[in-house]
Amino acid sequence: MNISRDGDLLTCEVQTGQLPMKYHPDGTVAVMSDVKETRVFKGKPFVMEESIAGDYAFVKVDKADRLGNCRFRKAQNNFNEVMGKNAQITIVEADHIVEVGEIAPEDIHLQGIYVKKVIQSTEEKKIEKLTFAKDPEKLLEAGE
Amino acid sequence: MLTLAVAGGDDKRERIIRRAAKEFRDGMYVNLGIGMPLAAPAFLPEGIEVILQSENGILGMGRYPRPGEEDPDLINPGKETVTLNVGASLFGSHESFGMIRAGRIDLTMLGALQVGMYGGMKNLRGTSAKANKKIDLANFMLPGKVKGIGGAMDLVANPSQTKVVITMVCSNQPK
Repeated sequence: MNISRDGDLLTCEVQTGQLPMKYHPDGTVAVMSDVKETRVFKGKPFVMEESIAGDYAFVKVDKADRLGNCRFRKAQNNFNEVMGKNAQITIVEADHIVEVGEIAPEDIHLQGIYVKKVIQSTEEKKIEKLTFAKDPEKLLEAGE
Repeated sequence: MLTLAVAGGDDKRERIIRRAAKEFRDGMYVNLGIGMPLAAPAFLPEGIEVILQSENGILGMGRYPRPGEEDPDLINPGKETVTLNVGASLFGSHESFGMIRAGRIDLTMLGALQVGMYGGMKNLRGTSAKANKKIDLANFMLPGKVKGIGGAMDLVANPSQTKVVITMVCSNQPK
């Protein structure tokens, strides 16, 4: 485990799986998390990660029916599906609440068995970084 | 791992991006990072098609939209609006990292902040290895402006199956 202070920056090696848990007021690390167990599989070392035991999941979907079956629109899935299946209690915020049967069975991405409540979304859907196609020349100036 | 780096300012970016685009082969599945990599497809050689993977769950990511085409449900990991190419597929992030970890991605191109995990790369020209170590580590884990490693760690874990190309313009100024 290697931690070094470089001016105002704090750097540490990540391969032990450790992360700072608590800082001193001056920015140095007060408490580090425990070193994680590693094991070799087929000659390659792996860090063991325990699965997250979620209590609640707040998931955003496009369509949900009364049974809690959900369908994502475009790239909306992200971690919604897997978190929805992980948590003990999953609450779905749906853009559209539809009749049971309206979502084709093979189009259901998050099954109702995982869902506790469905709520109608009331928030306006916004775009954080509206990005339009540019000329190749302008792409060179784009930066980060 | 192929590192393409040149000391200097913005006028060197085009050389890096053009050279990076030469690494594409027809039919490759490619993951592009923030920064110079995202500009590389504009310089694809004639007759070469690649399929872009976006780790938030897209295979077949297309160009940026034109005004009117933008869709709030269609973004890349950098939160920028994108489009889909014909034949695209959509899935969750768990599937996305599954295919990445399985080495199914043929080439990954890392730029900007994602280069941060390689503190102390040895084959850079123009700056000392020690100076790079400070710059690189600061780029991805900066208190107050933490971006995190993101998907980079998974993308570079299979170098025998997933070719890694790193694009960066070196400077002696820590960011």
